[in-house]
Amino acid sequence: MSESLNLWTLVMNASWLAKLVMFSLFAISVMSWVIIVQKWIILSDASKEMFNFEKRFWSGMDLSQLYRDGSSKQKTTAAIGMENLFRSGFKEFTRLRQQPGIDSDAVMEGAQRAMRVALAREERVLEKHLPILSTVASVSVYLGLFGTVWGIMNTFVSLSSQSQASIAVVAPGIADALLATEMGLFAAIPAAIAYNRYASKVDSIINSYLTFTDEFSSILHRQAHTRRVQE
Amino acid sequence: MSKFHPLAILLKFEGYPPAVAASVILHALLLVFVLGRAVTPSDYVTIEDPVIITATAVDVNPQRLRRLERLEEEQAAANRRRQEDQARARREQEERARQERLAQEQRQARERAEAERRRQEDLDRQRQASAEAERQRQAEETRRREAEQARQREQQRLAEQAAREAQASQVASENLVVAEYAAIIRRVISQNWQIPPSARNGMSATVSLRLVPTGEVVSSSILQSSGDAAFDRSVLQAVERADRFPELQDLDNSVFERNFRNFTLVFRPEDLLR
Repeated sequence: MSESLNLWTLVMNASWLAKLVMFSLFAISVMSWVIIVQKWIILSDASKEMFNFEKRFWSGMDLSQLYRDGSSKQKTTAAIGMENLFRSGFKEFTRLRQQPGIDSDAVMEGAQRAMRVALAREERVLEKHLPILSTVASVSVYLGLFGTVWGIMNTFVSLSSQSQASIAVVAPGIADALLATEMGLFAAIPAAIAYNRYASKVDSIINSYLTFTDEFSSILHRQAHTRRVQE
Repeated sequence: MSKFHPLAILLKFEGYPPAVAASVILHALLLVFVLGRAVTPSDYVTIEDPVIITATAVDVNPQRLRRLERLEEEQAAANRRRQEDQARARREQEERARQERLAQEQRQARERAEAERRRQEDLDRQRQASAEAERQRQAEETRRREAEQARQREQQRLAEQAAREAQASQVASENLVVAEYAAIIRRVISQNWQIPPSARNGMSATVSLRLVPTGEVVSSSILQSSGDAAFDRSVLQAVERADRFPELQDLDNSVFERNFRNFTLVFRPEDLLR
């Protein structure tokens, strides 16, 4: 046993399989943290956008004006979230309305379809990578345990060649083995927390989108039918 | 526009660059904190080797042993004294008889000399001188005889002393052998003794063993109960488990008969707890 037991030397003394497990766990941890931070940025941006857009939308502003504002903004950043839903629906609506002799129900149907497609895209963006987090949360614990069991097994195997088993012989091997579980837990706990948090957040955002889609279609519906009545 | 997008910089490339940077920095910090810290062995809890207590049952308590030894010594001393007294009395008697005999002889010699002198009072001085010489010779002879007797006595005394010493040394060596084999018996039985939980300090059970020269235990019985049935039973079980002491086969038969035919052991739990 060395004078000072550095964790790094502990890792380096481990068997190749334990090393493999530890390094893969480390990589998994890095990856899951990338996803955690990235999802956090994406989701907080989406909810902020949603909040801002709803405020503008219900401010009584003219819809075509709102659309044009969005168009000018789109030159710098692509529209995301609720604004994207609005734009695709409104674009389809105005396009179809300009077609001569088209049924207002058909116009409504087209606008709703366009919004449904946009909603599916938004959903995909929001939910992207979330399954990875849940996989990390459940699997890295097992991976860590696997490394630990392997390490402890090795320790006992090497112990069998010793005539007298002292704690000093067993301790480094077991500490080594436990390091794998520790790393597994380190990767799993944030991933599990983030997954639960983000899943509920994505759910609530998509619910808001659906509500907005319904509200916006009713507005469009009203416009389409009042126009036909005028005609 | 930037009013609506406070996270605009972060949002480039779907927010990946800041996410990667944050994750890498986090793990780098972790490595620095966890791996950089050396864990010295003094941080560990030191586990001391357990103290191993060997159980031994002490046969008779030391006081009793001492008392027995003292008794034996006293007996031996009394025996010795008695023998000495007898020898002295015998010697004195002999001495007296001899002196009497001597006195008688002298008296007779004197009487003879007197008679001679009376008979041949006026006879020549040469005869007297020869008688004188004769007497001197006789005296010489008595002296010689006396010296001879003294020498014989001295020899006898020395022989007696040697015999006594030999006997004493024999007794001592026997005691040593007995103690050795008693220790073996004690060790074997105490190894087999499982003290019941009801055992308390101060309890003691005296067991009498009957052994045969092959070392087997023929019978065992409680001489003096400890008052606790479980304790007594455990003691008898210990003897039963020990079963036989093959070492006793090496013993001289007479020593065995004197010491191990009936053997007494005292069991007390505090002997083990010590």
